[in-house]
This record gives sequence, C-alpha cells and structure tokens, in this order.
Amino acid sequence: MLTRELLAFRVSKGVLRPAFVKRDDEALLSLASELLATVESSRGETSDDVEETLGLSAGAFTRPKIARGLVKLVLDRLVFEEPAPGASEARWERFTTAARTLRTLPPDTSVEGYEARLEQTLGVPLTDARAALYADLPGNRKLLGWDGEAPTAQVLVDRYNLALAQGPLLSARRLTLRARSPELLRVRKVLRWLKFCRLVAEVRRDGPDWELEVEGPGAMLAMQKKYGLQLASFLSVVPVLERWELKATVEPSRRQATLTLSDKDPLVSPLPAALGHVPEEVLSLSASFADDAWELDLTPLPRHVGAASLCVPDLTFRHRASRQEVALELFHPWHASALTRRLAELRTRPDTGLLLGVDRALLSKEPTERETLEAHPQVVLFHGFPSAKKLRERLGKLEAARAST
Amino acid sequence: MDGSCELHFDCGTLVAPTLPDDARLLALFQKDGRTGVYRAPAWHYRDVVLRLRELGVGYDDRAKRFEPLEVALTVPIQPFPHQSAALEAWTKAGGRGLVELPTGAGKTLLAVLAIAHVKRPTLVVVPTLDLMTQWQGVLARHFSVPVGMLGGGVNDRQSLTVTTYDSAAMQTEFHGNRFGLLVCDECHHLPAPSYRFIAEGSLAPYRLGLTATLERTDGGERVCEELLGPRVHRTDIRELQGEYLAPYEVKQVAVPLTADEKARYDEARALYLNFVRKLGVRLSAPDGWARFLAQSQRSDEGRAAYRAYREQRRIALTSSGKQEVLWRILLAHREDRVLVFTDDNETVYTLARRLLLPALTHHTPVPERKALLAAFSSGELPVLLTSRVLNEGVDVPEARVGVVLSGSGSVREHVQRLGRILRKRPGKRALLYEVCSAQTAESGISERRRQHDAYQEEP
Repeated sequence: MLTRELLAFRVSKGVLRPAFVKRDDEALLSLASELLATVESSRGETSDDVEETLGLSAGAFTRPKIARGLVKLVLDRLVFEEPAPGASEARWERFTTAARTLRTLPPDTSVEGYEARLEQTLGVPLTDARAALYADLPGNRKLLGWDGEAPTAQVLVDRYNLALAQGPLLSARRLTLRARSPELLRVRKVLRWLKFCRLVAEVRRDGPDWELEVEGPGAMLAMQKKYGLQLASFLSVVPVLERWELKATVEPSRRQATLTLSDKDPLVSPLPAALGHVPEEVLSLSASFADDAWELDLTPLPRHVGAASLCVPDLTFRHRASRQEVALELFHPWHASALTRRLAELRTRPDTGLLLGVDRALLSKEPTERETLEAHPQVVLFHGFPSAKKLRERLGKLEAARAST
Repeated sequence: MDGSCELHFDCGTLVAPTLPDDARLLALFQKDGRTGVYRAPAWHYRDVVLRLRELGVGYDDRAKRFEPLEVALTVPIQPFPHQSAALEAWTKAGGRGLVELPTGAGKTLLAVLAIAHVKRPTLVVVPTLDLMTQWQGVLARHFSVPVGMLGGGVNDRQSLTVTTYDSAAMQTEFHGNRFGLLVCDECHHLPAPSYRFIAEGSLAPYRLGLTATLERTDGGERVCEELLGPRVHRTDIRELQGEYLAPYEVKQVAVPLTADEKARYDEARALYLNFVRKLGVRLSAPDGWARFLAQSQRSDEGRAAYRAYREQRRIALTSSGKQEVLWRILLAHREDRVLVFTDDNETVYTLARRLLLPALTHHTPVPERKALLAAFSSGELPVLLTSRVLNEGVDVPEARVGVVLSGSGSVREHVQRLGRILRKRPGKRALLYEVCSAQTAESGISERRRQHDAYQEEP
C-alpha cells in the first residue's frame, strides 16, 4: 500500500480519480527494472543504505512522486535479516561498564574526561564502540531478498496502479460494485474473496448484471470501526470481473469525494489467475435437466445463512410459474465439517430455500445421527452426484408444500 | 440452554437471527438488511442479556466465549484508602466505570483487585509495550494463572491477557467475545477514532477505565463514559502528595545557544517561517501543520523550508549547551536513578552513542525492555534515555530524578513525565529538571506544557 503523501489523484466536481500511469510507460518500466536491479545488487547491504540508494534513483526520475511510490512498494516486499545473536548482550556489557565508570568519576569531571576513562576501561576505540552499539537497529539490518517471488517491472507498475486506487479506499466505509454480464466462475471468485476479507454484501441482480454493496459487518451501526483495509484488499479481486464499475465515498483529505473506477482503468488483479471450474457432473446435470416446471441456473447466488455465514450454492432451481427459487449446495465426502456447520446454521436460522445435497459417504455410522440426516427435510442424499430424477421429486414436493400454504 | 433466541458474535458485533417482540430489546439492535439478522455493537451485550433475563426469555448464548474464572490472589493485598474507595465505587456501579487517580497512586493494584472481585477472563489494554510487560509482570505476581501478552511480536492469549491499544484495535474483531472484564489503562487514549472499536467491539460486561488525566480538549471523556461507564472515583494529586506520592521539586534550566548555534538557528528559522507566511498558513489551525507539510514537498523552496524547520528544531533540541547541562546533571546525580526524556528517537540515540547510556525506544525489543527496566530498578543501570515510550504509566519507583531535555507542548505529556518519578519511597524527594534552550521557540513550548496544577504550587 502507499502512504497518504504518495497517493496521486485528482478531484473534480466531487469525483476522485487516481492518477494512474500507463501500463506500457517505457520510462516507468525502465525505472522499475532499475529499482529491481538495485535490489538484486544490494543484497547484504543495510536497510538504510538500500532505502537511500532506491531513494536516490527515485529522486533523479522526472516524476519523483511516482518513483517514490514504486520505491515504497519495493521496500514493502523486501526481507531483512534478523538481529545478529549477541548484539544485545554486547550492548549490555558496554552499558554496565559505562555505568560503573560514571559512578567512580570525581564531581568536576568533564565529558571529555569521562570519554577518556571509558575508552581506557573498554579497551577499544570509543568510535568503534559507538558505531557497534546499536548496529542491530532496523535501519542497520542487512537485505536478504524478496518476500516471495521477485516481481517483474510490469508487476511493479501494475501494483502501483492498484495501490493508487486502494489508497483512497482506506477511508471508505462501503463500496458499490457493478459487474456487467460476468462469467459465473469470476463471480464465484469475487464472492469467495469477499468472505475472505470478512466483508458482507447486499447482492442485487439486474438481468445478467450484478451489483454488490460491499461493507463491513458493523458498518451499518454507529461504530468507529472502519473497514478500509478490508475494502482495499477486496479491490485486488475486482479486476477479475473484466467488465465492471466501482464507486465509493472516500475522504482522503478532509473533503468527501466519490472514487470511481472501472475496467477502463489500468488495474490488474495480483491474485492467481486460476478461476476454478464448474464440475463435470454439474455441467452434465445442467445439460440433461429438462423439466417443464423448473429451470436450472448455474449462477452462484449467494445466501446469508446462520448468524454470520455466506453460502454460495452450486446451483439454483427456479419454478417457471411461481418463480420460487431453491438453491442446492453439494457436500462431498471431504466436506464433513462444512456440513456440520451448515446444519447448525440452518437450526439457527431456517432457510427453506436451501437444499443440501449430501454424499452418502458422509452418513454417520451412529444410527440416530444417520436417521436424523436421512429424515432431514432439506437433505438430498446421493452417491457421487444427485440424479435429475431425485431432484425433480424433491422439488415437486417443495412446490406442492408452497402451493398449499 | 436451548432457548427461543440465539446470540452470536460476529467481528465486533452482536448478532441475533431472531428477537422477541420487545421495544427495548429491539432498540438495542438494528435489522441488517444485508444479511437478514439483527445486529448491534458488541458492547450492547450486557444490556441485551439483562433485558432478556428481565423478560424471562430463554436464550442460547453463542456469543460469549468466556466463563467465570477461578482467580485468587496469591498474596492478600492491603489497599490504600483511596484504592478501597475506588473499588467500592466501581463495584457499586455494577462493575463499570472510570477511576481517575494520579500517577503512582496504584492504579494497577486497583485493577488486580477488580479482576479478583469479578473473577472473569480479563483483557488489559495499555498504550505502550513497556506498560504491557510491566502489567504482565504485576498480574503474574498476584495471580496463579498464566498471564498472556499480545503485541510487540508476542502472540500469547490467555484468560488474563495484556495488550496494547494498537494490537487490540486490530484484534478485537477476533477476540472481542473472549473476555468478561475489559480494563483500559490510560483510558484517555480510548476516544481516538482508531481505538474506540476496542470497547465498541467487545462483549465484556465488566469495564474499568483508569487514567490520571481524563479530561481531553476535544471532550473525548464523554466517549470513555459511554463505553466504559461513568466516572466513579477521583483522587487529586495534591491529596496524595507526601503521604502516598513523593514530594517533588521542578527546576527549570534555561540554556543559551552558542553564538554560532544562535546564528544558524535564526537563519534556519527565518527561512522556515518566511515560507509559512508566504503560504498564508496559520500553524495553530487544526490543519495548519498538515498544509505546511503538503506544500513543502511541492517545490524546491518548500523542501528547503522543511529542511530549515528540521535544522532549527535540531539545534534547539540538542544544543551543545543542553548536552553540557545534561552531563552536569548526570554527574551530580550519579548515585540516583535518572530518567532522561527527549522529543525524538534521533536525539535519544545520539546521546546514547555519545555517552554509552542505554536507550529505550519503540525499536527496543520486548525482552531488552524488560531487562533494561529491571536493571534500572536494581541500580545496575542508573540512567535511561527515552523519547516518549516511558511517558505513561511505566512503574519505575526508584527513579528520583527526571530530566526533560525536549518535549512537546502537551500538558498531559509533561504531567505524565513528572509522574514517572513520583512513586513514594522512604525519604525520597523527586526532582524534575526541565532543560530548555533560551531565546528559541522552545521557551514557548515549555510555557504551554507547564499549565497544570502540579506546576502551579511551590513545593
């Protein structure tokens, strides 16, 4: 992240726009390469020296503020050695010697007299003793390398643009994200990241488009807790959506403004590119599920369950006439603890619109627990994958129950 | 209990999927349109539970993750009268409230008594790492249960845990449901926007705020009262001086700059102030300093003005005359324990290297801090140099002499620094030197910070 003085943005008519750099800005890519090369050649040098060398490169660049921003992002990713063992003990020795010397001085001793006596007692030049005294302070620690993989120049420039957008978000309380016709796997990834960031969202759908009002759990209350860091972290995943717009009320100085971002901006997600996949069985069911009454939707429609959980079901059935929706979440043999948690959450807050598809391998050997699960009105048991026939039967019963109430 | 209502803790908030139809209860929550549950700040937990009990409604409490704790004092404590009075007032207030006692009056022991009284897992929040280690030591001495710490690279949560405001602000959403008693030491820090959540996001039904100086210029004490409870006890510094606090004397030493220093000081200060005037910035305005900083980075002239600001400040804070005066004080008090306060770490380390004296700053690792304070107590290391980390609360009863070499204009900072040397010891008379560069802006700063009762009375 960039500190406040390194942020660059313009506010015009209440709209805040980060001063993004072009991704293919040759001068900047060249500076980024130079900074990365400096890091490589500075291994073993002290933190203060590395910072100074990088700072000089930044100062010489035609756009020093941008360059200082790049330096900050580089420094954030560097790892320095831990203090050498024994530094603290050696220091202790010096202090106790100095304390003893001070006590024995005559009352009219000058500071020069004290220094001379000290040097004599220590047996080393005072200049050396002074230089070594705090050699283990953070600024004196030696550079080991990168925390993780070394970035490329392009990655560094991309991170800079992202950080320019994240900075103002630190002062935000919520953001609104609109995604236009996103691929389902991309939405799923965004929703997973939302949960990871401990944020909540009100999700609205407008045809193929999605709108998410994202904020922290306590944002609706008169609490001082800000979720800026979490919102800024959430922004990392947004570019995954490909076609999107984002708005947030921010207060980077003392005046409020509306931060607006979109896929037109040069923002790249630093998260791994993999999106996951829709299982073959789900695709197969989707292709073969032909029913006059129900249609099948693979859209990951999130549901808030229990007191504070978010569930992203695998599929949703929609009754063609009544538009009643029934979501299906699948639990495979490796989901035992997740199933236990979901059952507890359904007890806390019943949700008749959610079916749990449970692999029979998860059935307990304990007869009572087994019978309870088998008789659970929201559980559909299956081997490998629930059949279309079984699902149709269960959906038919649910619609009949709804119609009779 | 399998009740008709469930309570959950979610990231510093209290969540109920359903609630009985009761106006007072519903008024404590808000309906969360995003997730469909009822949500309240976690600190409403006490009122919610009391109301549910009053209504006779069964409830399943899945929010709190603590139970009564068997904590007995290892050795009985004989409290001072003011401590007994404070504990009684706090207990009468239902185990919520603020206690204002002067530094050195035994606030830590009061908290020990409160923990022993309510017998609940307790989180103690303190401003600095030094106070964290000190509180940990005191609690460990008085209770036979392990006492954990969170902060400064230590991550050991126990039923009794001490943490810093900074760490607590980040951790409350995760552990705000694990403690029944929240103790905020130096609670005048709590109203800061980034710290309020520590009390807002905690379920703790019992709360104790401790401070020597509750009043804030921004009226923030009302936030303390809302989140921790009303002020239930106050004892003034002059009520305890002599009997429970050491008598003290404050000596001001004005040190002239050398001719060369004065010339360099005047030149740098003129450059800095001319730029400020040209900008039309009033430095006394709330955003004056921020505006100066921002403008100073936008031109060569601005950057030169900023360098000049630092230079004139450095000259005033570390003049050769000041260093000479410090040396004379150290020599005169070489049989005493002396705390030297400066305004910044740079000065601390400069002096530490020059005289080979130990420095205590935020860079000092926790184990070394503990060792330094212990050696200072024992007399093995009779001098400690520090910037601001020892300003508050740290218990160094052996310290008799304080030297304020530089500091801000804050009255609170100055009072707290004085408090470091006021711990009562038989025959002890505390002495605070305030060394100030004459004919510089530092004289004005000195005047501002001495506006407290403690300085208005001749000893």
